[in-house]
Amino acid sequence: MSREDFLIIMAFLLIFESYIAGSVIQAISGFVLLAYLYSISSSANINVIGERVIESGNVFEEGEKIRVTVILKNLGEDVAIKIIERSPNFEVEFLNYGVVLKSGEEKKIEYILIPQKIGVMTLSPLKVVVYDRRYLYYKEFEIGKSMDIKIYPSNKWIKEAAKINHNLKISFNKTSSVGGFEESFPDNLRKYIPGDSFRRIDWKATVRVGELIVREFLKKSECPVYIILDNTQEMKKGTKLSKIDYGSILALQLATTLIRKFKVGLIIYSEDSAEYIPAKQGTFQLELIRQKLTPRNILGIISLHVPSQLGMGLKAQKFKQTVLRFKKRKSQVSGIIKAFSFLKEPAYVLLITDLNNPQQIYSILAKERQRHRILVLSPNPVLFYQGKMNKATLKKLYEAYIKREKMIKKFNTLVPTIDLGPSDYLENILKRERL
Amino acid sequence: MIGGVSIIVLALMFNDISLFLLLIPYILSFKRKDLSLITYWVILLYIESRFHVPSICSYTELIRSYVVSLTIILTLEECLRGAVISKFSIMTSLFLVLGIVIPELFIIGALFCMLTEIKFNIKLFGLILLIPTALFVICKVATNEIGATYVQLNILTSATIFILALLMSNEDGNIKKVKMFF
Repeated sequence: MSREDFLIIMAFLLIFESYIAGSVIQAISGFVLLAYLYSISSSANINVIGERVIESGNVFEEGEKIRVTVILKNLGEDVAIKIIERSPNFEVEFLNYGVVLKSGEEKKIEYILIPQKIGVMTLSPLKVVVYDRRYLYYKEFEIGKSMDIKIYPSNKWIKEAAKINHNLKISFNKTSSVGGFEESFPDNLRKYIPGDSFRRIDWKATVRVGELIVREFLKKSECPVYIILDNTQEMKKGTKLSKIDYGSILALQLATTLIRKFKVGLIIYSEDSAEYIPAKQGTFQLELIRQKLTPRNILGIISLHVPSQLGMGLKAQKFKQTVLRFKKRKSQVSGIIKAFSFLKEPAYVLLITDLNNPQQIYSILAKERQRHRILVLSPNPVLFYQGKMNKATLKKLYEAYIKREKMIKKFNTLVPTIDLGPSDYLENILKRERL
Repeated sequence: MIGGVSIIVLALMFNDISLFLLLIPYILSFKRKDLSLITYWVILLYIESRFHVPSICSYTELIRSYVVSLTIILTLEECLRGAVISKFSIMTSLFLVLGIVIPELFIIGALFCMLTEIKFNIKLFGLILLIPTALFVICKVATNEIGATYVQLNILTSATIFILALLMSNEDGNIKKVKMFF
């Protein structure tokens, strides 16, 4: 019930009372009360204009405070104003919710927004609720336009990674123990020059050509490192920390640590496209990578669906062929295939993905491991789950975790795969590796 | 301020201490508006039951009725808007206090307050206020008798329903109503 309705009821109750009491005075009070309501309703003049100003542009660092100024001008009668910032990815500080604005007055209201995630985030228009001074009526309107704000990962992650005095044990130790990783990569063939090690002679090529041929190897430090980051829909989901936020920070930490000795490149792929930064060394390259790590988050609950098997059964394949016979085939190449197509030379590949499309990733890795040395760093969706917890959810989480464990085991037979949780940043991963 | 002063003046005019009960919603309005409105409603129904005016054909009764009604409006206004102290309110208070001796001054003071402080559509309000007065005057002059209490009540009820219809037709789509306990 609105306050106005309450006052109307009050007026008619007074009239009712006058009939019971047989007295006119209550009816006059009711009549005057309604006359008062009508006159304030007909003279209600709520007219406020305003704009939102963000002086420092639209590119910020994670955790940086964004100063916002709202300029309001009252063109009507005295009002009370309530400002509501509706962007869920920003924390609001120092916002004075109740502001009184006299007729003709102009006021500047300053407040601070603190981004809660990294990536591209949409800042919604500001909602302004203007109440008349009796708080009987109000008007809502929006100030400013919807704008995209880019939030880069903070420099603190680079500093943290730089502190870690560890010589890339994360990739090499793990890979050498699991995948039989060698010290160097075979690069190309050339004629034997006296002094070359006999161990490098390629006997098959020698027999074919008829003279001694040796295989040249790339040194570890000459081989580029590519960080491939999965930016598909499932990675972006999350109410607080999404897997893509985590993946971006991890990618930045890895790049910071590796760029001292290696050429580091970055590839970010989505469902049907991929973006590529060629591998280079140096601080500028690191900054370039940091600026690229601004994925767009989406609000949503992480899916816990884990396929029970990597390949489709015969029955399932037959069913798919029958049911989806008329379905249009996607013409575009999937993002992960595009991502690997950027790698023209053998490289170390650090693939950060939650393995939400295991069949496809498995088949691509099976093919690509012939050329590249691959390590999969996989944020576990179960550990990133932020929905409500109850008995049914816990059961579901447990089942999903068991299924995922099996899947990780299968992936480990192909390429080294590490399952990660939200607190497993570089330092923790290295600690775990030492154990 | 005006609301508080008018309650005290009314209590002194009618020599009834129960009228001081109206100060409760007035004080409550500083904390919670909706709670104050509900308290106001309960107390108003009680206080109104203490007055008995069977006919407003007499000038004294009409003035008395307007004094009570205007006090109710002034109190309600301050419950909704909050107390304001200004030089106009102090001047108006003087008129209200003088109303103890000459009740007409109370009405002049209240209308002056509405014009300066409350700033609502005073012309419209005045016009509406004149309707029952004019109606009774015409009836009195024409017939020298306006009839029983219930005839007067029916006329007032009809006028109230007419204003309600005006209020309903006055709704602006952009302006919304504030819900209670929002």
